[in-house]
Amino acid sequence: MTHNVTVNADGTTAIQVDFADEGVNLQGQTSVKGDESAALAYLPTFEADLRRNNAELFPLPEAPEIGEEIE
Amino acid sequence: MPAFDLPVLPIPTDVNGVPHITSPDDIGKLTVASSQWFKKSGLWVPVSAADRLPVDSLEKVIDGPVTGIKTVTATAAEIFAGGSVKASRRKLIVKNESRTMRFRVGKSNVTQQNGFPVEPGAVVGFEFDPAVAVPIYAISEGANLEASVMEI
Repeated sequence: MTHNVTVNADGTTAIQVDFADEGVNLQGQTSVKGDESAALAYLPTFEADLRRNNAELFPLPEAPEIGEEIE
Repeated sequence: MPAFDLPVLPIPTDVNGVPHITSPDDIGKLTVASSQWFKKSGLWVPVSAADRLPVDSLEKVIDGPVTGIKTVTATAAEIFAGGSVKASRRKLIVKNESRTMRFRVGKSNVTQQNGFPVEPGAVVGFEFDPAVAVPIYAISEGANLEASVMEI
């Protein structure tokens, strides 16, 4: 996931995220009250919500084959 | 009373032949096939660029709702259902899924003191002019909590 943070003049900070680097066509945009640090603190929550609400877009990790050693 | 009465005329269909009506544009009007007519000030007029089909009721669902779960934190953040605010949003409905904690809603300067409180299990709704984007912010009064959100 890539993200971009833009501080606005009204005391809010916009967050834009894109999951294209994971091969997922999903973008998100929100804004939080506060500065860049507030936005970056909120970013993991925003990301987690997007992943949960769009779980069908994200491929499940491949299960190891039977007999294959798990590292 | 219906929003408008259309005479029997061809309804626009998608590639599968399913009748549909388009979403409101950024000024809250609908663009449909030019063969459509609607009642304007008591007179039937054909839909045209000058006389576009009006959207006169927020009660009618004309587009699929967007639903989702949002985590409300102690940082005031915009609340919406999808990846971003639904375009031409007409309604926002938020349910507090916490059993113990309130959150507050308001504009971007909302705080844990000045926002409108949403009690545990309570639902709050907003209606919007689809042509005007109005962000709604939510902030938890304490720990993170979950809210179910629907936008129409």
